[in-house]
Amino acid sequence: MIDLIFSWKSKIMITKPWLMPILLYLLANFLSIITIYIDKNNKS
Amino acid sequence: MSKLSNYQIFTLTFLYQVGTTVIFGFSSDAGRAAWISVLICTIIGLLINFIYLKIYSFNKGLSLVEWYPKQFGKILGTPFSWMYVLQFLYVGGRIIGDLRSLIPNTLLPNTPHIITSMLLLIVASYAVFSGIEVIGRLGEFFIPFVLFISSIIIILLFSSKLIHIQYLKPYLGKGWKDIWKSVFPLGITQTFGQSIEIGMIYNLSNNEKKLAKSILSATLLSGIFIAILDLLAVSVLGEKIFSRSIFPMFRLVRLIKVGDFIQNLDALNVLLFLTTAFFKICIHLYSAVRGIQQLTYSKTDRLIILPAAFIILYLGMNMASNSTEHIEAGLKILPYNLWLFLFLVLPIILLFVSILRFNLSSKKG
Repeated sequence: MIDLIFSWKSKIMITKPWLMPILLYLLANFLSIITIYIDKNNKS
Repeated sequence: MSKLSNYQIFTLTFLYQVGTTVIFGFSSDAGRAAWISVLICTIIGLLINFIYLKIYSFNKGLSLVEWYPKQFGKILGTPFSWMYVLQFLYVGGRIIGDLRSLIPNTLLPNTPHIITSMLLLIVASYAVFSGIEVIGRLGEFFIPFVLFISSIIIILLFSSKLIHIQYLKPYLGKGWKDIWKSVFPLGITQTFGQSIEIGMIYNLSNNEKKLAKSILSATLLSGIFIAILDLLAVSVLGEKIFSRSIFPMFRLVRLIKVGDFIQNLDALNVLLFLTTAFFKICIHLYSAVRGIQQLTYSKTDRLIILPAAFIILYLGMNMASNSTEHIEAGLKILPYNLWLFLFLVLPIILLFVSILRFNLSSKKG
């Protein structure tokens, strides 16, 4: 997934570079769900 | 928790900021005025690093990935922290990409890329396994070596009678417009903005009172060091070759020839590059691993080191199919689309939020 966002071969980087931070933010959101889930489990 | 002395933080910041510029040069778009551009970047870089230190003063004892959830709340802040971690992995991959461009063109033309990249990553992983204190001690050990080799290169350049001061004139080159183009956004984000990553080790300092002094003096020294390298490169190679060359510093050292006896010193420059690249990749790997550990609430970071190193290797081997694409992404795409946001916009917003929250809580208290 990181490769898809950052790689030159994916062409997102060249044709729509402004999509990069948006896709990265979406991936980061997905990962933060894991963080919040682990945090909740730890508390309970 | 492991602790670092301020001198160790100073050495790590210096080696991190100098990084790959020992071979790629800095602000080559500004032509003969590159050194002026570097000095401007250094002044702005000092200000940017001061902002990072100020943010840390509102988030004492926390690392970079913990600043955002603390100030923005878990739901809004955690994605930003993950963005930094992903960026660390990617930029780690870029160092491998740099190595892929340099080594086949210089020292080992027939060796497969993966061998050299893997060897560097194995050593970096071992250093991260050993802990940040070991990396800090290595920094202390290697900084005299870096300064010694650089001094030898400078002395030999003067002895070879290659320096042409007239190449530097007119000092402003094509004017302020070109200088400003190379300063913003590439110049300030590439080396000095990236130093936000050092925010992962601010809280490991054993004397936080002198932390700001160490970081800012390392930034100033690395700026002066890079400016000297640029000055030498322009005065030896001339503006055109300096701007067009992919590895201007490497080319510079190759020209050294003292009395038909001391020559072909390019290996010396590659050695210097490998040393700084090693520290840079160590800090990227350490920051990514520590960030993942803190964001997943893991008790140990040891299990994360090898997968993170593998991701860095994979990214480094696949992000671009040749050096031109790799450099194009680093110079034209990333600064505008990602680095400006992560190294400048977000930290400034974070600083304002931190000040606001601090004022509100002190009023309540």
